[in-house]
Amino acid sequence: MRPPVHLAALVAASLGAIAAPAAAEPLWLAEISAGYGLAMSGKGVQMSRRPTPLTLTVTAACAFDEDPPLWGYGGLVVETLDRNAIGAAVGVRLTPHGSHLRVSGGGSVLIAPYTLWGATASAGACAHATRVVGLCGDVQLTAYFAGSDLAEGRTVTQAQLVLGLVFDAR
Amino acid sequence: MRASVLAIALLVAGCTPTLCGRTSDCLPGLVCTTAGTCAVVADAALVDAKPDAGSAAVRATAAPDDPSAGDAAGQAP
Repeated sequence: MRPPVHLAALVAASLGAIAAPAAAEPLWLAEISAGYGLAMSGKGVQMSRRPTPLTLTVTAACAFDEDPPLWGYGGLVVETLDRNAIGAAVGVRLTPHGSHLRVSGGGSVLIAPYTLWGATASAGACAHATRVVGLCGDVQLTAYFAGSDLAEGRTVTQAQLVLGLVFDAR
Repeated sequence: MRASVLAIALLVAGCTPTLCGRTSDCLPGLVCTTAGTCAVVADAALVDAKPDAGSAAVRATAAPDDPSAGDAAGQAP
């Protein structure tokens, strides 16, 4: 006895759903943020502790996975206040379901007028002020390990409080 | 507000303005040496090679953001 056609189609569809989960719905966010904090370098009596430049960042983020909810982000970085430099940042962000929290990790590079290569990690939270605008606060650690702005053999680690505005382009 | 003032006070109190971590912490014409001090470019290698190098290098070594540093480097502040 041949199974009904619609039953076979249902089984095939089920297997297909298991083998290839539906792609995450594309979601986009734009964010502008400003960070300020403390930069440390060296150790012992030669350890320097100085205020960081004001770091302005404009990024776009796109959701690329639904479970876990992962976002990729990238954008421009500007250092200003006591110096001026421009660069870029890229990374991945985890925003747990049903939570305001977010955790990010990535890289940051400054390209002009000097170069710096760094790795960043941050954790924070966002709250929607309106349907499309959110306020975010993060603590961000950046370790600069290479570049023309560093003395040979030195690295700089900076901790910043980052405040941002997020625009939901869902 | 009170927390912000406290945070800024701690930030400033914990700083070491005479030491640098990056060359951009120093005045133009100076570079940050491995010793964590600003020095004129020509003498930076000397300072890096011998922390207790000659007096020329010591004179050239200047605190970041020190207005006299430009004079020490032979430049306008």
